[in-house]
Amino acid sequence: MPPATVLKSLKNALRSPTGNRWKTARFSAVAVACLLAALGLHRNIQSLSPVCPDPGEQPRRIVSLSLGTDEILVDLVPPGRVAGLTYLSDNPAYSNVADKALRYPRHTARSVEEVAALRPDLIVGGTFNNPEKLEALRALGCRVVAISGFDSMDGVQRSVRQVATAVAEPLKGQAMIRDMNRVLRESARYGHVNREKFRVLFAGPSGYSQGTGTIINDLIVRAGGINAASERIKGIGRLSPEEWLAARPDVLLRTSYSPVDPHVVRLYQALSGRPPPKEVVMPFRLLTSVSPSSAGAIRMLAEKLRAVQP
Amino acid sequence: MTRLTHVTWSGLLILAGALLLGIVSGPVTIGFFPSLKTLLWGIGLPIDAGTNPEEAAILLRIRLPRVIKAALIGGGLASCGVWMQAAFRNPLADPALLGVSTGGGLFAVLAIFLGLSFAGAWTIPIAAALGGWGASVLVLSVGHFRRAEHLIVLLLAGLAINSLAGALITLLLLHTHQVEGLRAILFWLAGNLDVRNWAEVGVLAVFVLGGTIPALSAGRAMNLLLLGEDEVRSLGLPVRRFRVLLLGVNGLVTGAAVAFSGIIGFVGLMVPHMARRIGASFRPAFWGAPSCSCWPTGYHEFSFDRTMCGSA
Repeated sequence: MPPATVLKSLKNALRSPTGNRWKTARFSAVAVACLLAALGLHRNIQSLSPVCPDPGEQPRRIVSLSLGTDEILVDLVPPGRVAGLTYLSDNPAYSNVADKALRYPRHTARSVEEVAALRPDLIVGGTFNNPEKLEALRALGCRVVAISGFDSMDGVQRSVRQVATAVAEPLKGQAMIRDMNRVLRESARYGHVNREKFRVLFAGPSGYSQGTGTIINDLIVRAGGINAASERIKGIGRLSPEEWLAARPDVLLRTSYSPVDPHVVRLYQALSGRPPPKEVVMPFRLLTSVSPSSAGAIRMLAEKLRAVQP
Repeated sequence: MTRLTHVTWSGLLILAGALLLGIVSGPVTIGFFPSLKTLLWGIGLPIDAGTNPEEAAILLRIRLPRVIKAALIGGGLASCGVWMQAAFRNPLADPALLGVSTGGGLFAVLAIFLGLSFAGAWTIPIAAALGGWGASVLVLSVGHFRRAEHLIVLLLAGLAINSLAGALITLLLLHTHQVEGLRAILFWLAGNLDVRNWAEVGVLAVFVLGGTIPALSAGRAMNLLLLGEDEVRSLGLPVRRFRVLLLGVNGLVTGAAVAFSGIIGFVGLMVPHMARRIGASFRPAFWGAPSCSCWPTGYHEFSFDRTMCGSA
């Protein structure tokens, strides 16, 4: 059937018995009203003041959107320059700076509107924050710094420099990095023992582990171990039982909140004929928050690995 | 006043109420009358807004575009739900039936997985729209190839593409090794009504209104479809082409909605039923659905999303 006939048939089927002229007039009136409202809206929105104030040389209403940036900020700026750290910053289960954070204002802002209502002149977050929301905040004229170094201690140091520059405190940033390097040097001495390095496997929830290109990998290597998952996984991934066998872990690293699946350990023991790997338990906050405190995590891991009997 | 007029006006009142509720309520308390006055000032009426500039900015630059986006998406998906239930003569049909939502989701997830950024901030919406439209075209092509004599062919093709795209999304999730990528995918799949700028609302409006308004007068033809294909054909309606037209417009509108908001369920399936309970046939439902859709979309907007799912 040719298209013209189809259209004609449709037109016949759709024709209103009351006629279309009155409807067209009403529709046109509504369309014109909408157009006028849109034009008025456009003009008035242009005249509005920006949602976020201009930071000037030194931001004075800084809002942090992640725990990692909370932990950097408390060492860089006094409470008077912060409009809000995250609500987790004072929770000792998650935060490595819970005591210090008590002196700072905290926020529970999750939506763009709530963040904007804090009138921040600088928003510090991470690339793991919702990119759509960060983009929406930028579109409102807010200054947003999204740090991205969560895969290594070098990345953490880059992030510290980035945040320190954004808050106009480069010297304090350098001091933080010097402190981190001092702790890392101490950890290297702890980790140096006259024996074969342990093969350490990070046992995350549901069989997930972390291989190359992750902070856990950097932590294990700097603490004097070998990441047993690094030959199998790039980034985060799941290890199958046969990969567990091939990984031959001496030590299982886990957080205080995620026990190792006993079935996997029994299966490993039965299939490999080796003794069950030793467990090293680290505080949840040290392995989940990627921040300057990760240097402390390396020192603690190095001490714990040193204490493990072969 | 006819029933259709009743339904239309009731729907428009619900729409206006839902929009107003969405604008005056939010995490920042501004107050009903100041919000209303600011809104009226915003659209060009010569009145004193009476709010401070920050509150006016929150109302007009954050809430208003967000609420309009929610209304457009809700209205578009609800309309598509009506078309699909008519086209398939099946009350369980919804806009996602042809794999449009999951197809869009697959392409968006793929874009994040591959780290594509060919169009800056528009990359993911463009990818999602292409995926949604691609899935729709694929299903229609299968229907065309099989002559689509039976609705079941289209239905099965849609379900197959839905399942395949869903499985591929899971596969990509499992193979995303970086935390940031994983989180970006999950954020997108969870849906989002935030608006970056008014241009986004404008593009969405072009697709949703462009697809919905011309089709608003097709209620009679949809009622005819309920008679069965042979009967309708004998009345002169080109059933196959009409159905393809409906499915094509559904793909266009749903693809655009998915592109800007992620995958949203419920609205496309349930709102047509709510509207049909008022109108008892497709014609009033067709007018009522876009308006009524603001209730669930608005509910999601001010309650669920803002208090539980919102995440910066």
